[in-house]
Amino acid sequence: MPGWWPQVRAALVALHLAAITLSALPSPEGGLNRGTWSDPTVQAEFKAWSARFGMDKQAFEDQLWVFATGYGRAYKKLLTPVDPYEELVGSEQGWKMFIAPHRFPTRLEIAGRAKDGAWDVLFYESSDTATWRRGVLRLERLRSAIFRWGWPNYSSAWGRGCAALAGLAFEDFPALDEVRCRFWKARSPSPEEAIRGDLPEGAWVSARLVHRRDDGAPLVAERMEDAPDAPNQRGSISTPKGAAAEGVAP
Amino acid sequence: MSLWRRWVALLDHREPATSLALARIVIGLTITAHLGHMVWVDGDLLVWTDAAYGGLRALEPGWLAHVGGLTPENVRALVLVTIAAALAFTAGAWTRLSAVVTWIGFRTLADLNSHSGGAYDELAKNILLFLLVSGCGRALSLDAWRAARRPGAGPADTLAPAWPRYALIFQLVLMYWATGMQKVSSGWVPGGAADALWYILQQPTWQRVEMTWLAPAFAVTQVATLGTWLFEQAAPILLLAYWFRHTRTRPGRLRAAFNRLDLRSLYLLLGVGMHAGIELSMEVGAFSWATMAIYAAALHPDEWTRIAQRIRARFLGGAVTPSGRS
Repeated sequence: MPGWWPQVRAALVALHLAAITLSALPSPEGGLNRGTWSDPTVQAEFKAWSARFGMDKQAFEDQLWVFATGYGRAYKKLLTPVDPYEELVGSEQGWKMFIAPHRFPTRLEIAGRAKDGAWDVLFYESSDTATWRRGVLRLERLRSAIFRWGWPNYSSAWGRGCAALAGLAFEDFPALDEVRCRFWKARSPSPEEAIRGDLPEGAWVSARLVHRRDDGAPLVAERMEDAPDAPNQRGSISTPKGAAAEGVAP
Repeated sequence: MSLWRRWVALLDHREPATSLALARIVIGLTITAHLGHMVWVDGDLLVWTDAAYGGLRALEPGWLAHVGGLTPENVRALVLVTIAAALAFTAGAWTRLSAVVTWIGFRTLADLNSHSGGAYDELAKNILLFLLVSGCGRALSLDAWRAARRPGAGPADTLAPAWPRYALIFQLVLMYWATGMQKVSSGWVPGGAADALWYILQQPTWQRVEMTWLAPAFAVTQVATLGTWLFEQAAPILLLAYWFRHTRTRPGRLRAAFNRLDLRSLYLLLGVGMHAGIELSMEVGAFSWATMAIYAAALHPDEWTRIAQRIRARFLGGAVTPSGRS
């Protein structure tokens, strides 16, 4: 018979593996938000799945909500004894990676202007010319935040994030009085559309405006009318009208 | 022998620390490079300082509240200390201490801003946790070099418990399986359009370059979609492959078939290919590199010895025999 330590260690390892297995079970956390469910990407999933099950889309969505909320409650109860341990040792197991493709993705644009001047695009995701602070804005941790900001349930974080980026822009470009952050939201093209070069239309969404403050007070991002100058043009996924950088001298 | 005794005996096994040491080097370098890049572009300050100091969000400082909160100075100091510890951990210098400091530093940073992280945070934290209690400093390290020069040093000093390596393999299987189970989009699940990867590759957030050029090869992305889904769903087979390999002398047709096909190596090779594809086409942070730390631990130390012997024979001359280099 082995000594006491190998047995204690075997028990601890078994308990740890059991805890992380429970924690890795599929979780609806983060998806239980009806506001998020109205996003066209999520609606496209409901349409595809309800068609597979031969159900009405709304009925499918309602039944899924009932199931997901019930499962979510059970999941939470199941994890009650595990949560404190996980928090202590840092063994969280949230493996939600690309669970569904975002068919209506967003691209961040940051623009600035002097009072009553024209907007100059400083940064536009995927642009080769509007590349202000690209090094930091393309960091995976920033992209992770930018991805979230495009969803309606991250609206307040988006406002704060825009204010932080505006602060950097005001530092880099003393001539700027206002910074505007917004997203270009467009359906990704199907392979057939990409081959034809017939790219889907899009629109500017979630626009925020930040004014320079000289009194040292925190910057605030105000909501702007969505798509104030939405071009809605065709054939330009990566560089919508208005996103061509004219450049602003730092 | 009872199931419990077999479990205790399995975890009591000791082996050369080479595989765990390689895992240590890979995860240490991954964390160093990741945090170093953050500092290089001042991303650490944007992501981890509080909104009051220009950060992206209002954040809970945790234990950093005792030293003044999430100020730019504190955040930068913590990042630099973590980088220094990760470098020492990579080199195997004061391995246990450097592992603890890397683990605490990285955990603290990764947990500060839940909007600015990814699966690589959780993966790295879990890998560090296992390495923390392993003997990963007993090979390929400054500690091992120092220990070997002490009077009375022997081969037993280079052995480490095998269970952290088994636990890392279990973690890999759990991660793949859990992410596969949650890929419920109609674009992933067989029977649908199998267009998930096509659309994921069109996402500006994650793509390395614009990917519409891939349209003529849409069928390839469909095969990759189904292949990825199946690879992840099938992850528990890897555990079975390891078990059959461990008990290869026992009878059974399934066991014999698994070992004849070497499903373990096949699965790991497919995994390396999948991660290479991800790295080439997408920017998902340190995820693939952190995963490679577990892949390093997924090979038995003897296999690494044979690989090293082959490399030496190829580049330094000499023949390789089945038992090693002559």
